[in-house]
Amino acid sequence: MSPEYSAPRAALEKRLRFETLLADLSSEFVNLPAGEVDREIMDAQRRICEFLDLDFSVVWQRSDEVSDLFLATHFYGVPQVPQPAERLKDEDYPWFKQQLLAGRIVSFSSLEELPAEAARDRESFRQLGTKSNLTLPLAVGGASMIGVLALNATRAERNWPDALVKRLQLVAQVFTNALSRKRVEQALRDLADRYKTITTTTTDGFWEIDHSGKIVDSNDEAGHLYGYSRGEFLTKSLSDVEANENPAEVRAHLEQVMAAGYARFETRHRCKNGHIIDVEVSTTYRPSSETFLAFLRNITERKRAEEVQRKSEGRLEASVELAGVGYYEVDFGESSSFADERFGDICGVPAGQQQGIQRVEFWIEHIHPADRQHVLEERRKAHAGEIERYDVEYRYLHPAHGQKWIHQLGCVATRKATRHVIRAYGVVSDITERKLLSERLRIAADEWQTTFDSINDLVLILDREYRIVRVNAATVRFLGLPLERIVRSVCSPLMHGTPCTIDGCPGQKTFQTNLPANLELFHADSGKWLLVSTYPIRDAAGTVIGAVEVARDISERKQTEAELQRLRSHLWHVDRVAQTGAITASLAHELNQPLTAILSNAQAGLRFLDGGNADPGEIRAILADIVHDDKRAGTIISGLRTMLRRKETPRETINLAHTIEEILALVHSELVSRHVDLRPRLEPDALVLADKGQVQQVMLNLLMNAAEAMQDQPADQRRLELTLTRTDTGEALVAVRDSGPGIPEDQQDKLFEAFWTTKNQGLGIGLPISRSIIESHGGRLSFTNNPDQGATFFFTLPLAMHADPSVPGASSAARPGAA
Amino acid sequence: MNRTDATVFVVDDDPSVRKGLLRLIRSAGWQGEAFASAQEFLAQAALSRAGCVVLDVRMPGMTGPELRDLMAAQGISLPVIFLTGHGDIHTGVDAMKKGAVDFLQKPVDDEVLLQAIQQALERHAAAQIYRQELERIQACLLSLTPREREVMEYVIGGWLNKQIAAELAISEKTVKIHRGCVMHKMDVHSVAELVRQCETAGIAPRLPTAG
Repeated sequence: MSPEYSAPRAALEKRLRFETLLADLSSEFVNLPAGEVDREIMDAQRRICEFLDLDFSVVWQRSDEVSDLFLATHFYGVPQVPQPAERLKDEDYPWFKQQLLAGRIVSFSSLEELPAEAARDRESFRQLGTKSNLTLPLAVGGASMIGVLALNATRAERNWPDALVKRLQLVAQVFTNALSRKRVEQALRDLADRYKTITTTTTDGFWEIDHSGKIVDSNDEAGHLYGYSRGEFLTKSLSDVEANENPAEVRAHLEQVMAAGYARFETRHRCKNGHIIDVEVSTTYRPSSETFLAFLRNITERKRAEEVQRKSEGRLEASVELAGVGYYEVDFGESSSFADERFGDICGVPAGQQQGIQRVEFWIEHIHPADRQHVLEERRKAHAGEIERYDVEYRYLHPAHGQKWIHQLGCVATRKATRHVIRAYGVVSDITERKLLSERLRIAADEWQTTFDSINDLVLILDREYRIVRVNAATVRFLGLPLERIVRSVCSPLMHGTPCTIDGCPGQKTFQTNLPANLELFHADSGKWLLVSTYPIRDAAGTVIGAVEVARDISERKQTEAELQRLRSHLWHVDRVAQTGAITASLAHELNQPLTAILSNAQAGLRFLDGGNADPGEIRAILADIVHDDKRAGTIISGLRTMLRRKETPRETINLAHTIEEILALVHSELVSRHVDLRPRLEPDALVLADKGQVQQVMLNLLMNAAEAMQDQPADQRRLELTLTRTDTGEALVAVRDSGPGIPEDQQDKLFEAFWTTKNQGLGIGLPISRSIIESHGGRLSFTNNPDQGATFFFTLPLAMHADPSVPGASSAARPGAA
Repeated sequence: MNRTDATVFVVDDDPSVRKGLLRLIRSAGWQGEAFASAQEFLAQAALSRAGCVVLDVRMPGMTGPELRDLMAAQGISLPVIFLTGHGDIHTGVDAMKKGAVDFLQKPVDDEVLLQAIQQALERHAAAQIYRQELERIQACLLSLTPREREVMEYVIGGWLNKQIAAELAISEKTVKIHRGCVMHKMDVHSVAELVRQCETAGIAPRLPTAG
């Protein structure tokens, strides 16, 4: 129903109701808590719209951030009316907005009333459905406008009489006040919140003290800082905590704060438990309330850390100095550099802080040209961040000291965001000495290596597991294998083809006894004889940790030895033949005996038969004797063959008594012719492992020597005792004792010299050879002058351990045809 | 000569040789006896028997030549045949010079040995006869008086009685008497015989001086 202002009573009533409404609204907003403002505004909008029969109302507020932006903050509308846009778009309401910004009231009853320049706005309003609109600025005391209140009619046009506008301006004012207050309260609350946040969340202590020093407010942290609870703390005052013993300083701080309104300083405060802590105070002064607000930070730890750092820096400096290391810093940002004394010494630059970076250039210039590129390249990499730091060694041409070797570690300290280096630092040390030493060492190692490799003998270094650690070039050549296959292999398969150590392995002996050892070894693969010697390698504690094995090719020597042995055998043979030859005449005589007997027997037999009275028994006996004598001759022949044979025979187990008897048979005639009275006493069971012919050669030699020694004795005083015994020590002992003049003292040394003889004939090699023969059999040959008369020559031979059953023990050793 | 009477002694140190030689000797019909050494021979041999010795040269102890020398020194007159196994010319020459019958090489052929033995035995026999004759002559000589002996020496020297008388300053008649006794005691029938006998006995004639 459209309001009729011309009806007086109804109009008065209406007016009264309206005034009542306004009064209600005013009073309601007076003590409205900020939080309810918005709700009340919208409610008020509703009541006004209902009262005035309007369709919708919007409160547009100016944004805090963007001052010409209006945001819809409050709205009421009848159900059919759509919600307005969030913000008032410039493009939709350009003229409208302009009016608002100017702080003018906008009112129109119909869209046609809008001026020409508001064409756009008109269109927008039409779309919106607005037919009439009244928009009032919400301004605080004619000053800044915080927004507008818009009232709209959409169903029908309406008028806006001035009186109504004026009354509605009151409403606007109420809204303005409420909103302002809300804002202020909000701001205040924000402020309080921020304040609270700051003071509660800060790890620093916070207090407010009044002019008398009393603590009027503090946060929990402050209490904790000093060991009080908050409640306790609020009863304290500055004097309770002030521990700075320098009153002048305290006063200075105060004055500074009061003068400047703000100060930050360090001081000392006392805690509840009496401990003194270092505190950093950041304080402001509010003259209006004469209170100080301060943030307090316990910097005891920091101070300690600083002290530690100072100390450690001091230590660093000291150690840098002790290490003889020079330190430098370059500040590219400020274009300055620092070098300590040591750096100055090493690089030949003045020490200390210096403006400009000429030092750097100086340093670059003095790097040896051959090394410069490398050093600068590394430095570049570090500066570019490619590497953490650069580590270089280079030659440096010190202006005064000449060339030295420098080891440098350089680092980048800080960079700009653009990766441009601001500060770099590093250390240098003079390593000339070390370089010289390592150069000398390298040369020595080279020399050693050269020497090692130039040794013709094989040298191998083994560890305790017989693994090859190192070999010289000669070894590689000898084994004919690549180095990788040799090193770390076990030595046994390579050296003698067996998987593990062999009998008599010198390395094993060395490890067992910790002494050098050696072995002659035949290396099948190469066909060479090696003399392998091992020597222990000890560590500093003296423990044997390995062995040096030296192997020398002794193939030549072995060959020479073999040749020597051959020659020796030949010589022995020659001597044997010569000795046998010397008794040829006697041998012939000896053979003659059986031959004579045979001839006589046979011829006698023939005569008997011719005589016609032959006794068969007699004939038989004759023939038997002939057979016997023939065999006897055969024995002599075979004995002779033994002496004369060229071929070497292997040693066999022989019955020494039989062997001696054989040679006695050969020399019998000789001894007889020399009138030598021979008395043999031979133990029958002595078995030795020997070369029969060689033993007989020795016997012949000794017997002939004895016979010749006695040749100047009267014929009935030529006694020759020949004994064969077995000793306790497992040897056979043969002694030839003559009754000659004995060996004169001046001849005793020469007896066994080759080619020395007192005889008119003979080479004088008989005795040396006899000795060699006996010694090669493991025996000894020597002589002694008899206490009574003459000399005794004797020799020993080791008794055979096992009696060879094929050798006849007690039976005749004469085996016809035996070589 | 009665063969069975003669004994061939064999001295050789080799038993086989002894055996063989003995057989050979027996096969020739002689008796043989063998000894192993000179000492054994000297000790055991019936040295008075007729025979000879086959002697090995080289023996231990006393050698063959030494034994022969010893035999000669002891007046054992058995002839010696040497057997040697080793052809020593020097020994052989020496042996032959000293009167060995032969010096033979071993092995010895039967003919050679037996011939030597035969020769030795004959020599021995001859020697025996000779010795007997000598003994007789010496016995006769012993029976002479010194003067008779003296005269004999002149006689066999071809001195005339007259010359002997003048030499001895005795009468010729005395000389003739002595001469007769000598002829008688010496049992000779001619001066020639006497001369032969004296030769045998080794009496030296007194030779006439010139003028």
